[in-house]
Amino acid sequence: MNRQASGTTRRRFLKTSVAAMASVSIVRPHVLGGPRHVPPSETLGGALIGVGGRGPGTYNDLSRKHKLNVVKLAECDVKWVGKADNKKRYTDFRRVLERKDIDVVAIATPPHWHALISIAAMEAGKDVVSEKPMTRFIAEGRAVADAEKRYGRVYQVGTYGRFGKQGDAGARARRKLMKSGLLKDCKGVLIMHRGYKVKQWSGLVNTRPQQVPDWLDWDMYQGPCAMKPFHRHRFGGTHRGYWDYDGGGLGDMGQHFLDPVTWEYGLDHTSPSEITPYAPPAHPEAVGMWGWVELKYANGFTIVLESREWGKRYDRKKPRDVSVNDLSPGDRKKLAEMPDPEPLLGFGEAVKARKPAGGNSEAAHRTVTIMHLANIAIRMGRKINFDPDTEQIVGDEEANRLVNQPMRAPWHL
Amino acid sequence: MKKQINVAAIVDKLPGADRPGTESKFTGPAPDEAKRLVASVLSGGREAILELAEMIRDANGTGEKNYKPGYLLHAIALRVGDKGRDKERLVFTEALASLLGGANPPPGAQEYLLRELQCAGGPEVVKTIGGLLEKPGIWEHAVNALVAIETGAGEQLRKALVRARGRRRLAILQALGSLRDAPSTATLASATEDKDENIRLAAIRGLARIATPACVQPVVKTAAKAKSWEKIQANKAALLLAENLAASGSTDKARETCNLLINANEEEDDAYVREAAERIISGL
Repeated sequence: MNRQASGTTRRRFLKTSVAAMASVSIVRPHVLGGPRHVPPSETLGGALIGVGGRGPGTYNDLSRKHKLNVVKLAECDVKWVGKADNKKRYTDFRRVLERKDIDVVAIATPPHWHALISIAAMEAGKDVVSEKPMTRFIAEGRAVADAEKRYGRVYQVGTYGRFGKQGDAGARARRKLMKSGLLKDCKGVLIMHRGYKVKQWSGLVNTRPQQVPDWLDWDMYQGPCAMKPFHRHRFGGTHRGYWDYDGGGLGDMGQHFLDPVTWEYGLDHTSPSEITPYAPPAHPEAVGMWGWVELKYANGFTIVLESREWGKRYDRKKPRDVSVNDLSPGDRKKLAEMPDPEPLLGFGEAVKARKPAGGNSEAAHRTVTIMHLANIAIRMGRKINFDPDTEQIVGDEEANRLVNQPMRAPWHL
Repeated sequence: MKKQINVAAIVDKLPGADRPGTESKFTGPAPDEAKRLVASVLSGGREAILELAEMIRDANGTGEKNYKPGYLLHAIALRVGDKGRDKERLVFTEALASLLGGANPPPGAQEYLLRELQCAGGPEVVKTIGGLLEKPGIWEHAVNALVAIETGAGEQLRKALVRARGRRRLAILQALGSLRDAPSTATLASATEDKDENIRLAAIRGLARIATPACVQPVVKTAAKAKSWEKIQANKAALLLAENLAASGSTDKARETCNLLINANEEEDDAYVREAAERIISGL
């Protein structure tokens, strides 16, 4: 069955229609939807949705890292029951997004809200920086990418490893090689045993429901997820250990680790096609242990994620770099004549130029899809096959149900 | 003939939570050991599955006596969902379905079984799940399971919609939209006039996904008169509808939808919506 979210298979790309440049000093940036330059002196209206944890840092990056002249007009958090004024402080993000004086939104809620709020913000004409992980499941990512293209907005996921990587000459050379299309049978194997915090960010399996604190809107916190009783461990950082909200340490940290990899190896527009896990049977609610996951792309390139916190070590393949030596002399010459990778645009530059940012939604979606596929394979306990074009799991209906999961009304993609 | 097995003894072989007696994490059994335990239960057929399922007393944990059988049942749901195991899957899902709808097991346990059917269930359990769409406490999980199963779900949801009110009506309407249930077109069109904003939004979203020419007027009409959040969502529905009409070859209707949307968004602040509609038109 086809589990695409939007009901369309069309891929829309930003077009470069010319928008009027007049009156930028008096017309708000969101009014002019097309490509244009925002004068450096222009002040943007900003909002932060999800004020805990990374929230303040993510918002402050708008000015510090992205060099935008932004003034904070609103903040929103489900922890403010009885304290919101719906002028500056909100508990409902929809009321924030209705405001026409807000141009840029920073999102730092728990992950199960990232996609829905990102999409809604772009539908409301805002540009978006969203904390990682970009999404909770694969169809969410496709819907975010569709929204960015549909509305001509700028999206940047809150991880920047690829920006650092583009300064590395070896990484640039690998990207050029992998993107060239000349490497037909890639033998590259990248084994990554970073700090996935597997045990640290796993869930409790035998909890007893607790009383919801009176300062918390638990129904809003749960949002699109099936309603579950409150427990402190499902909230405030440890939420990462429950499939309802995140994908454990792998789901949460993987976007940091893999963001530079997908850029370096030219994987921004595709996904792995064969995913093989090694893990005990997964718990239906609590994220648990896993040993390793092997993810092979259609061109042969293989990424191995290894936890080193459970079970036997990975021994199916040895690490192997990709290199121009894998090409014939003729192809090497062709490669040398190809252009070098274009530099990535930071979010601030992208907002001003009305062009996709380096960590745009398509690239971020392809990165987070690696973790989602790894987690689906772990949850199934078996090899799965994925079609990177239709973004469906092939020949495994049970696994495919995790690609696009039902949402609790009124929330939907 | 299935062999007699001791299900409770199999459950006891599962390792406990990491810190027995306290709320804690779970390292789990070795995969080979888990396979053996799953195979042992399956070798007992329907009776063993029923015995295991009846050991579950609540959906949301309440100590090791509850979570161990729940964990093992989920491991079985995963095993029978694998390729080439459809006979075992049918035995499993029909056994679980037979426990639903009555006074026993308790609602929390029935919620848990519904979640397992959301994983592994197929058309064979749709009618049973449809019968739970009015059951307090678990109807929302029944909706989710039907959306996941898809085949045959529309009919059950349409039947339940007749008597549904409030949040249940909203969830069912949204589910019909998720399923792109074409027979619900008239119902959804009518719901765009509802007094509840969430109902109206679920209706136009459903129509945008069904995307037949009959969906154009109710969606665009809503976009023309809506305000604030509803306006944002109605604009989205109209754009999605136009994309879907275009993708299915109804280019004239897609163009009509975009032009109506452009006319319904004339303010300066709406420029990005007009441009989104113009991009669709330029691609026709």
